[in-house]
Amino acid sequence: MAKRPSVKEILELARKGGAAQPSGGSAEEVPAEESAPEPAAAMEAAPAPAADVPTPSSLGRPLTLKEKLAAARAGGAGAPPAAAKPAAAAPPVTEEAGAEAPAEAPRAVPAPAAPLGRPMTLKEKLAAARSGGGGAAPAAGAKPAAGAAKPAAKPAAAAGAKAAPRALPPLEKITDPKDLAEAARQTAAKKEKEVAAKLAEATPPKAKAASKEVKPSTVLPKPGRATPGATAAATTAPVSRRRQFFKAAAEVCLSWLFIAWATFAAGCAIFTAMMGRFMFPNVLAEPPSTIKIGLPSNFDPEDVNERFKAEWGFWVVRSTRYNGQDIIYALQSVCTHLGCPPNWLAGEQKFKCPCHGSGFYISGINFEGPAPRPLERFKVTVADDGQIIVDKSQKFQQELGQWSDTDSYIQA
Amino acid sequence: MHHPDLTPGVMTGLAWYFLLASVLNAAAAAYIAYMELVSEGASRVGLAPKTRKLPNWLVGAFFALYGLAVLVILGRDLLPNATLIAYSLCALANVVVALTAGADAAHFAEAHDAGHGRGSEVHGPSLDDHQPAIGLGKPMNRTLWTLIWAIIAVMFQAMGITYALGGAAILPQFIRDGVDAVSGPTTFFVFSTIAFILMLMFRKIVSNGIVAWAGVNAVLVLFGLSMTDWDFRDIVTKPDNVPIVGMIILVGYFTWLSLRRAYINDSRMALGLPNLEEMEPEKTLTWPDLVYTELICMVALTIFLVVWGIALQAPLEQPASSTVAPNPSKAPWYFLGLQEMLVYFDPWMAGVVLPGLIIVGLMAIPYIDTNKAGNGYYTISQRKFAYITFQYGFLILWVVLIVLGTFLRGPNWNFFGPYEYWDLHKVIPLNNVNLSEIVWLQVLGLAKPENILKRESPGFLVVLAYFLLVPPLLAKIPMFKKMIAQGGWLRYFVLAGLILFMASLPIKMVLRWTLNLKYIIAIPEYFFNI
Repeated sequence: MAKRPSVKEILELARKGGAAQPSGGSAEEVPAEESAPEPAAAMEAAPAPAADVPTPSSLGRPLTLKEKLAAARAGGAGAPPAAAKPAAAAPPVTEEAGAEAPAEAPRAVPAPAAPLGRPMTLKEKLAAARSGGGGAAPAAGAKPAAGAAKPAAKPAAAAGAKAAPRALPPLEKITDPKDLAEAARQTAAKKEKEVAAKLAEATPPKAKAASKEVKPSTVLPKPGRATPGATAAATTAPVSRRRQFFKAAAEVCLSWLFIAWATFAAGCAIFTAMMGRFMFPNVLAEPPSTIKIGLPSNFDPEDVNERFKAEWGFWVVRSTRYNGQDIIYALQSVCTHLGCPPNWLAGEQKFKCPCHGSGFYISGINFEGPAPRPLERFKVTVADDGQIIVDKSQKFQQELGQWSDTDSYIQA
Repeated sequence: MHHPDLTPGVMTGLAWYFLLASVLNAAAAAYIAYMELVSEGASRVGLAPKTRKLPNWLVGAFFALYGLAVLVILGRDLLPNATLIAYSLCALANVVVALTAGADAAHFAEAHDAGHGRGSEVHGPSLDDHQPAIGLGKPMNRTLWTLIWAIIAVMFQAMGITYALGGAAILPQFIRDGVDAVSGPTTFFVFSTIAFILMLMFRKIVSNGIVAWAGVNAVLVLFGLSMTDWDFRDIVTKPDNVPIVGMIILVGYFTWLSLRRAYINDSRMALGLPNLEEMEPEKTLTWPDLVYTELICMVALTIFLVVWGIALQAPLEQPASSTVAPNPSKAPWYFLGLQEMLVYFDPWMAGVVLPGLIIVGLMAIPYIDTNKAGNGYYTISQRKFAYITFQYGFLILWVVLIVLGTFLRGPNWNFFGPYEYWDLHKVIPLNNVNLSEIVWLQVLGLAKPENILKRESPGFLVVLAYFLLVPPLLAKIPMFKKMIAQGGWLRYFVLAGLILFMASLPIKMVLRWTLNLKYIIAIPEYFFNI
């Protein structure tokens, strides 16, 4: 692989040749002609970089980015020969492909507007296009602004040669950016006049007004849109206006863009409807919410029955701890903190959650850890055959006072 | 239940572990003995060339011995006791490097004092001397520190040989019991916070390379000895937890590195010198330099992950069930800080509001921070508030909580000491009470009012006071006064709000530990608990 110039070397190069064409300053300059004459003479004539520009050798350490930029700026704007140099003598900038130089001065408009120091806005581009197909008016107009914005870049030497109307050398030999701008301005003015004259010849006054509406458009050409003024001027009756409206509406409805969007919207609507239908399946395989768990006498006093935890998610507890009465209740095995299933620790006589350490008494009342409220009870009833039925569809919360509900427990 | 502290496998592992510790210290000794010690930002202008040279025979001997060891291991079917022979060869290489470095360091010092080196005469300051970074104090005594690391290398190697020959050195039981006895969520958290404060206060000492290396050695020996404990080993070597061990090392190293550079920069800028980043602008070309580096990193990391994935199997557990949770149930390691927060807050607070505020707060930093210093270089003294706040939030409230959740939380989310058996039936009394109960029942001796708002009025008062009174009070502190003058009141109040939310976690933790306070506002009826 060929050795690449490092950033430092590039900057060094720029600083040496920079008196003639500094890379930092080039963006601010008028675009040079590609077919420029040999720049060697100008480069030789260029003086050394300004003495106050720091170099790595003078500082004894690498330059910081700030210093490098300052140096580049000083070489570009500060050194008088750099700014005063003829544009044509400037060598084409090889390092910066972005700084494209337009080949001819009058066609300077569509370039990325180097004189403006920023890309052209859409409005400016349109204005450029409108003012007579490749006319140089915007460039001419923009030039003074650029000059005002970057006064430092404009040489004092050039100011003397700024006599307003003056004879310009032929286009190929223009070297001064000012001259170039002047040439562009004059050409543009000429072109504008020509265009105006042509327009005046070609169209009657009324149609001319309409033709001004015609803009170069990047969207689909809409038939009938280009000459509405002319037709409107010709026919003014209300009937034809209505007919015109329907005609336009039909045209809009039949346009590809409209059809595409309508199809898309319809597709979305159908998909949404299908999603909605999906939410209501034909068959719902939900387990029944009630279960018979056996006779009350099957449950031992002060005991937590864990038989139903794995499949049904509740404990059956028979205890006197809640209110002194010997009752049977079904506690849902879901922690009230974040929904983990707690474990029953018989040794400590408590439910303990493995996720964040919440603890509950055998009664389901929370007493440690972050759980904010007691475990929840399921509805329990006694069936006709004497067995206990647990109904998971109904819950009872202690903090809401629902544990006094007779459906939340049965007397043992 | 009793598990054996040491098994043959563990002892083999420890032998190689201490071999690694020994070679690290031998390398440190050789580095200090032979290399140029020109620290960050120190100038080498005007220094005579060095006389210290790494002897070629030493390098050759070191790699030859290690190569021989590899050969012996490859031919273990032919040789009896091949592993032990290979181990001895490696140990010999380590000891040779350590001792040669020590002897050469002493010789170099003599030669330097006498003014003649090998071949050429050198007088005055030379690259032989340690050139410390500005702010980090005087040059170190190279001979002394070479000798110290060499001796430590030999000691580590001796420990390794002990394990290799079957000597069962274990961490004394009284140390384990003592550590278990003092460890708890309170002590762990408070100790971490104090360590953080000390690290910042004595950052000059911490930044010193010798101190840092001494710390590394302390960690090496503590970790190695702790591995002799079954419970510690069981937790640390779980495939789930291995990344956390790696994370501790990575976070520790990079925290130290940034601290050191920041301290050097601060010292330099105090003297009006350019900071390190200004002196060596790290600018390279994207192509090929950066892209190649990234490609190499990508390949290396992929290989590493593949090897890791083969060596440590994925820690899969039983099939998921809605009614049975593993005990303890742990979040992914990077969320263990959040899980620890959940112990102190409601899910909506610890799972939604606080994490959301972490993200929003981090995004808001560029809009709140008006301090333009510290752009592109490490500094602490120019950005004290930002540094301390961020590092406290990251190191203590995130990393330390991850470590706590990973290694010290056991079954039923109880706290276990590092050497404690994870007993499913460990009982820690945690009777928590709400603020309303403390105020109405214990202080006032009244019954709790029926009305929810009246019942929780003390909590509401405390929370409102916290959020409404603290910001104006904080605004009286000179640092915040300056901030308000620079950035305006709106910025200050956003900042104060974020800081108060951040501080709410340690405050709540301390309240839980000291007062057994469960919730300041407790309205379980509407699931609103703070």
